[in-house]
Amino acid sequence: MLFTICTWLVGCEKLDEPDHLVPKTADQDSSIPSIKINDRVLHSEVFGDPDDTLIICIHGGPGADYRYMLAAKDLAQYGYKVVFYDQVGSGLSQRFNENYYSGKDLDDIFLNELDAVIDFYKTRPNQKVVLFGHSWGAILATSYAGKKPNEIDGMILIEPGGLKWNDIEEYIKKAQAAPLGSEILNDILFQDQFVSTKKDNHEILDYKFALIASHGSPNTLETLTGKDSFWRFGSVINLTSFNYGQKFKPDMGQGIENFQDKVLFMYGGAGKVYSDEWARKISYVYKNKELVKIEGVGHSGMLESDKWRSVTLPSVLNYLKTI
Amino acid sequence: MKKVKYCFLTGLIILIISFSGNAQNYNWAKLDSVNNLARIYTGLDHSFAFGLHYGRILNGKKVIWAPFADVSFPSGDPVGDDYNFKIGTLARLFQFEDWKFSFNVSIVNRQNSNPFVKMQSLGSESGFQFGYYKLKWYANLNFSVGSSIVTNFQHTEAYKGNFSGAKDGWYENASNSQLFSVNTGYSLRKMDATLSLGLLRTEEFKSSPSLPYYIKIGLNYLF
Repeated sequence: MLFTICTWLVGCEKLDEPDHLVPKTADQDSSIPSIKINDRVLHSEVFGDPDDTLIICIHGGPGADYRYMLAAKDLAQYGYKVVFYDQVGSGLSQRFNENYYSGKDLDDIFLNELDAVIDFYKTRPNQKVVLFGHSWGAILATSYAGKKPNEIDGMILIEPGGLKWNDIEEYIKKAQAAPLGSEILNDILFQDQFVSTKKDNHEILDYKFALIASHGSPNTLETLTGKDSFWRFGSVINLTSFNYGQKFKPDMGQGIENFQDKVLFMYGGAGKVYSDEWARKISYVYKNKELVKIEGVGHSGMLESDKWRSVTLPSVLNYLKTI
Repeated sequence: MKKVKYCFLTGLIILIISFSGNAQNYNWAKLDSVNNLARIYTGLDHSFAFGLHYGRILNGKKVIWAPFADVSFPSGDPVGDDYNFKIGTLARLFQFEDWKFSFNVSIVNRQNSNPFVKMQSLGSESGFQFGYYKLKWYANLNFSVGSSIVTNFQHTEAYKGNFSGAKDGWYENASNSQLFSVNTGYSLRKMDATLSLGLLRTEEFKSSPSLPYYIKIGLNYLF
């Protein structure tokens, strides 16, 4: 009690207040644009004419958000309807505790949600749908196309780490490798002495996730220190997904051979992990594809740097003309 | 103002006594005839770290006190932006033949700077050790607990560029930790080679840190 009085006197804050260290989510703040999908409040925005070809942007992670993909809203100026949404438990979408996901597979968690997002924004039956996925989002898009090849008309994929679990795991290990004694590794480990929490305390868990990710990855040239790189990480959904992967070792490319439409597959030329060889290996499963290597950028630079307007956007527009 | 200070200090003392800890490597069997202990150590403890420790040995009739200062730095670049600094005391409370019981308490100041935030905390550690001590070697079991009492967060422009509402300032009780460890040492004249192995938990044993174990090697010099 004495301690409580003392801290009250010095005016200490509490770590788990909803908007002290991380922003509120859409279910906590009604001013955040959102949609309700499968009883989940998802942060979502749409740009462009409602009846134009639908482009669904699917962010990476699991547990990241669509903020770094927002350059893609430029496509609305070229006659496309561009949809962004933060996946469940990610970004500014609603958080759920660990037990909400137990017994659910990736279809229940992510694919049914994507399906419902497409349905929500589709205004007419013959409206074309293109999935635009980055990293984990590209893996998710591929999984959707493998299961519902007739529901979509094209895919723009940027650096899916892998499709088979072993490839995904290998990619993650290479992307996140940090030498013992490096500043990155020490900052990841050392912060546990400053912030600790029990499970399902989302504000603190998501904040800790941000601190862990704060250095980005020198191996993939990902950086999060730029302005407007992210809103809020989703720790529980990230761990849930990786635990699921390690347990069930899914093949996210299952059925993709049934998807006949052309795929635009892009990767950066400057990262250490996504080599030409890796791009060929991962893209092998797409029957009809165009590989584009974007020089001078890493894992997400083609969306965030000036390369978006000079290289990525023209490639995407050329591709969209072909579907 | 005087009342606030009194209140804060009393709370701090209560917490230091009731919480926290650090595994210690003193060979109590050898400390009767020395006044000082200096140690260098390195290992994995919430990072790959190296540190320096100095203890002053105060031999009482029944209790041996060893007030100490300890500073450690995680490796990395730059060195010094992250650190642990502790001042406190050890005490060998009682013994039965070669079996000895000791405890430690300390105040801890820590800092971590990463691209998103600079955190500085004031906390406490305390623990107890029970072990078997001979002139040539010793082994003990340690249990200790640690807690940050207050932590200051100063977010960088990089974080505020992504969340402008991030609130800087003092936060209460941001972390706690528990440590079980086994400590052993081999002694040669004025030197002890020491080894500590431990398991770390947080949140009253309900959670684990990213690095849930602890390995340290050290060298004591007695003079």
